Amino acid sequence: MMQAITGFFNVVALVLRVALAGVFGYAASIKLGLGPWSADGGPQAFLFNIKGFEINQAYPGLLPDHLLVPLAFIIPWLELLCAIFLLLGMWTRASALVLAGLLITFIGAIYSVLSRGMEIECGCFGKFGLFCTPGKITECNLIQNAALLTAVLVVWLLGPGFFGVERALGRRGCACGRRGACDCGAKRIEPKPASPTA
Amino acid sequence: MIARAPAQALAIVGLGVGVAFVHWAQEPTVRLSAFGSDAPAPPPPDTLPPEPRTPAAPETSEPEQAPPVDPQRDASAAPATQGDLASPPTTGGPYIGTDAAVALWGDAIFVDAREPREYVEGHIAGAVMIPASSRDRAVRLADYGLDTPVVIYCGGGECDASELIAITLQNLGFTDIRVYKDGYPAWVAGGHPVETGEDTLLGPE
Repeated sequence: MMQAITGFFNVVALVLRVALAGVFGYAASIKLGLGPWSADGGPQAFLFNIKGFEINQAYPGLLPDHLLVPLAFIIPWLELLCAIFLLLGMWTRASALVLAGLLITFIGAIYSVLSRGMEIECGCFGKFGLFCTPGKITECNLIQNAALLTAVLVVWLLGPGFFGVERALGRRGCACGRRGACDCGAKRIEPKPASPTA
Repeated sequence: MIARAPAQALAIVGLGVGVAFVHWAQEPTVRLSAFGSDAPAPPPPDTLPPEPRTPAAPETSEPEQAPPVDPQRDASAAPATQGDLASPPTTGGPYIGTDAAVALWGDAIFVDAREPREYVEGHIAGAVMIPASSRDRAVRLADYGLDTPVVIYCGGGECDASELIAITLQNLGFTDIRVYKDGYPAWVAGGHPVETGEDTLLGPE
């Protein structure tokens, strides 16, 4: 029974991390102008997107203008690196932490924009959007990012699950129940006989 | 495993920042504003008198009307027009209002930076279409000469597309670029010439 639960968690972790890798890899490719689908993207366009949030005008000193240009490169590269690590199943929990930090920042920025009643382009996922209509920022973007944050936190809790590099190396990152079996590649840990059974 | 995550997360952030700076060094033209911080700020909302200026040509929405910009004439007469354009009639600097845009209409190439669908529905008469999603079209504009005066507009308000196209044109080498900040809504409100349909100068998207 515990093995079934562990297997289930491993599958959930695998599906979530691959899906998140796709979402953030796609978002990063648009912001970096990579791929034929990102003709309206690129760092310059993303720079104007984050400039449009007018964070420093609302909260003086929080985000000086001279930091916006490097940020237009740093944010998408962090997204892309995390997407690659998630896809590989390597440093999964660390990638989830970085993405959680990014998403909390995005949620704060979007909430700030909505509370100021601004109508600006999101710049989140280009012209295709994700679950929300692409274009102007709405409450939908807030909910979307909250859902992504939930998924990221679940990956942080579960680790890479099946088919991760960490797992193939027989090391860390197995999705174990607190007292359940952990199938960590070469190092298989059986549940203790005293563990509760169904 | 969880305990190691923060250290690995810091490593990812460090790696991301490093790669980002290398990328930034490869694209030094990425900047906050098309005209730098010393450029005059965009003018306040247009203060046109209630009676709009009479445009150089009668208002029309018929596509067959000759576009106000003749490529041949522009390419050859660019030096002659430079003198006039060096001091725009009403507003100095790269950001111009509706009256300055009207004065430039006919001499400068107007560039519509909005999306193709919006362009087809209606644009300033004679304007070419270079949307943010097809910035490579700007290369075709270079055929008219890099010193050709260019006026870029978009949907007004918070629209940043004009700045984006301005930077694209600057990177191509265009020297005489102005941004009509109030954009298409103010032009229409002033009753100035508009037309509908595809881009006949640069071709469809």
